[in-house]
Amino acid sequence: MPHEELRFRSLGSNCHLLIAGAAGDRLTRGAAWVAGMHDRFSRFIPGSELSRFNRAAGSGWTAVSGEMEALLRAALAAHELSGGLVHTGLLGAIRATGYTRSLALGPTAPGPAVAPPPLPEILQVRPTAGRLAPGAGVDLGGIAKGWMADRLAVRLGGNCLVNLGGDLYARGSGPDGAGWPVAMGGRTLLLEDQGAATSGTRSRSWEHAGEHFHHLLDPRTGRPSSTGLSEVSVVSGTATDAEVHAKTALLLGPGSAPAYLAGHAQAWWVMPA
Amino acid sequence: MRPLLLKAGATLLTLLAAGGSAGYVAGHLKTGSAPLHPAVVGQPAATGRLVLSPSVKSGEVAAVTSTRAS
Repeated sequence: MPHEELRFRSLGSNCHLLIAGAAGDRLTRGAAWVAGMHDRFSRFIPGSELSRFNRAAGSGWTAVSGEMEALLRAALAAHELSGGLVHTGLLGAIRATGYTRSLALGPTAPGPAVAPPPLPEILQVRPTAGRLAPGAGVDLGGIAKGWMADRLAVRLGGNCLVNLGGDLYARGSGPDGAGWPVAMGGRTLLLEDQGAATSGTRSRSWEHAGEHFHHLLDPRTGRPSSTGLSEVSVVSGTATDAEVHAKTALLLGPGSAPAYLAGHAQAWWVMPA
Repeated sequence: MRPLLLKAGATLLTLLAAGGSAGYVAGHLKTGSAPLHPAVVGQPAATGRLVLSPSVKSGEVAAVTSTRAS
């Protein structure tokens, strides 16, 4: 069975949608959905729902949309699942590295490292509302792409694959019925109703005054991770879980990552720094 | 006299049960040298290679997309 596909740029990443068989306008509607979610949950857009939520830090409960509530709950779940390593409350620490705006515009001068308290201490969620501690801020970049891939695959329906910047969900048995062929670790995996994600320190990296920075921060230090691993790819039941497991393993480092992945992932690829 | 006998009997039963339990536990201690589970916990770090569980298939066909971050 042939497939139709659409490649586009969104979420600061390359995105790729594929549908086995006739897609109709589902691909363009899917891309529009991704663009709409980007506009709502980007920290770089002052009028986004996320930016408004962050500005309301310290002012008590703030009304949030259903999607925002779900993302915040996913962030808390990821924090718990990873033992605190996947931390979406690192906005202050991210800004302190100089990643204050889209990297296409260039980083700014870094400041002192900021290690945040555990996420549940600064973020609480209840139905239709969220609350941030004074001075706290959320960056959903670490979990949103996987979360969106899972949901967009459901919206597209049928036999499809959603790849948002490397975080992907393969729904159905693929164009040939054997699974969606996805490159990982130098091999082709045939994924069917499975998610995959890669976490790495090579993309979104920059130099400042001779010091190397990248976007993947270690919440234990508030600085870019330096655990001895540069990239981890994971296959799991969903893209959201794969993204959490990949990031957790990368932050655990080469000593503990294989054992962690053996207990959590369906397949994995670990690359030393 | 009878209450004293009952108390002594109950005490004896308690001591026997405690002694029996202690003996059973001592005889079924987890072996310190038993292999850890999952087995990979005790293995050296495996990096630079792809690890597949039985739930993931691989093939020789060309990939249509990649999980590599972009």
